[in-house]
Amino acid sequence: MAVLRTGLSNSMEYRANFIMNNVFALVIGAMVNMYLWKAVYDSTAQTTIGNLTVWDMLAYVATASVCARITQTGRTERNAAEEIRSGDLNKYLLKPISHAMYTLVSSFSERISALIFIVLLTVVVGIPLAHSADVHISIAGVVAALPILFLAMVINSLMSVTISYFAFWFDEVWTFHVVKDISLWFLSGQLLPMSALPDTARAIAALLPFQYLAYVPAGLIIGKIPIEQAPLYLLGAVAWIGVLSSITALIWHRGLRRFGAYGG
Amino acid sequence: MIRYLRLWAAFFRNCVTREMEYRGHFFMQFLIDMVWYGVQVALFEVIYLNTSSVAGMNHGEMYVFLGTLFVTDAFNEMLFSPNFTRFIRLIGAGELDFYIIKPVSTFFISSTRYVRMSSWLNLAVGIAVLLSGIAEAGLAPAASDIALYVLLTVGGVLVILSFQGCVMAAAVFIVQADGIQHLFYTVYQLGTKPDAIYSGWMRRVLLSVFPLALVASVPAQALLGTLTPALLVSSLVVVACTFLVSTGLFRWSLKHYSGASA
Repeated sequence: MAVLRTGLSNSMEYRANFIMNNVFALVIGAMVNMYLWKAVYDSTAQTTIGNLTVWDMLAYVATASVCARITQTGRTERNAAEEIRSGDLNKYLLKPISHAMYTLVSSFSERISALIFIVLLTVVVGIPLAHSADVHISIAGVVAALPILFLAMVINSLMSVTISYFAFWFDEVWTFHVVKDISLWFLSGQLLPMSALPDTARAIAALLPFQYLAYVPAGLIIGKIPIEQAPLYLLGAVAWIGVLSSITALIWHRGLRRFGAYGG
Repeated sequence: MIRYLRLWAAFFRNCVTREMEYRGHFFMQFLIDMVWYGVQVALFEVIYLNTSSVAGMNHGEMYVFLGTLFVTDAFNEMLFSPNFTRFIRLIGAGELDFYIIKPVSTFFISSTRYVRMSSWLNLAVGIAVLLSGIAEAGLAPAASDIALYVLLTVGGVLVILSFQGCVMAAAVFIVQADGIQHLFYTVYQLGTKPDAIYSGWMRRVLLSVFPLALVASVPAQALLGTLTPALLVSSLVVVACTFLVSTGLFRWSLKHYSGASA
């Protein structure tokens, strides 16, 4: 709880970043994608793409942008690499806490204010817009999406922490973080639904953890993923957390053998 | 002018030496840009599996647009972007003082001091995408079309520089502006799609007061044969105005800079 309180306080110190990341980035990113998909539907005789009508697609793109914003990682996970590089990791090694768990909790605490803001923005702006456009928001889907969003936050944080732990071997790992973040625009389903992918690509995407960050929760919320499949996705997300936790722990222990820091 | 060109050449030589010492960084930067290009291409590849045209552009024509976007982006990444991201740190650390006291334009040195060599590879990839689009769309641009394309591409790069200049001016006031560069990258997204996808007032705004359509859409039209004389003239005027506003804002912001190193 102490870590949570500190993180929340830190996040409010960066108000300009907060507004830029959570208002401009979210709204403009979603808007550009919605314009693009509207133009795609206007250019084709098809009434559905990936089993979505034009209004379904616009609702999907907006919802997926919100979900991706909720599950994105921040500077906390990246700072872990700097702690390894600078030797600040020492202070964690002396304490009876898991570094990965500490980083995860810190990251969540820094995102709480953003989460509250995004949810309020969605409720105040998104729901009336969806209602006026006759887009169906599934209440049961929202309820089912919430635990998946939480698990997706853990999945993304674990991926970022794992990347940061490569700092035991490499001087700079920020490149890997940026590559991961850019790749996730596509792989998470933020730009387009997995159902629009060709069959083979869709089958591969269904086996990977990235779909939990945007595609699955957005699909559940707009009612395009049947609510009966929610438990299956929940189990899948938990399984991926198990796999990623094991990888994170393995890399941490291997890396720690190489780690050396001196001084007080 | 000659003095500034010689100065820029000196910056360039210095950066070549620096980057040769960090070859890993060279390839990592290239990797990031290639992933970004890959995501843009993959998005349109999936879209064209479901339709034969988007906003009146077929697959080949879209590649002409994407190639143009990658070319302007490569020039920006090579010449201006490294300085833009550095500038925020300069203000926070009070190191902008060292630029201000030099007997050259502060906007010039703040925008051009560092050059990123890996972006030459981006430029090669951008030109390859552009040429594949021209071939697929069956275009045969005349020499005048190519000249206009080059002119408008330079204009597109200047528009990006101008937007970055405005954000840099804002950073002078905010001082602890970590992350303000994200404002530019967020807004930049509007220019990464063809202007034809936007309708009505939004498209007019992107061609005039907020001219991100000039980054890639308008230059691409010079090759696609859809550029009208009116759009050409208005685009050149808008580029000039945007650049003047940006440099004016930057100079004005410096009058309010108090320095942080004292």
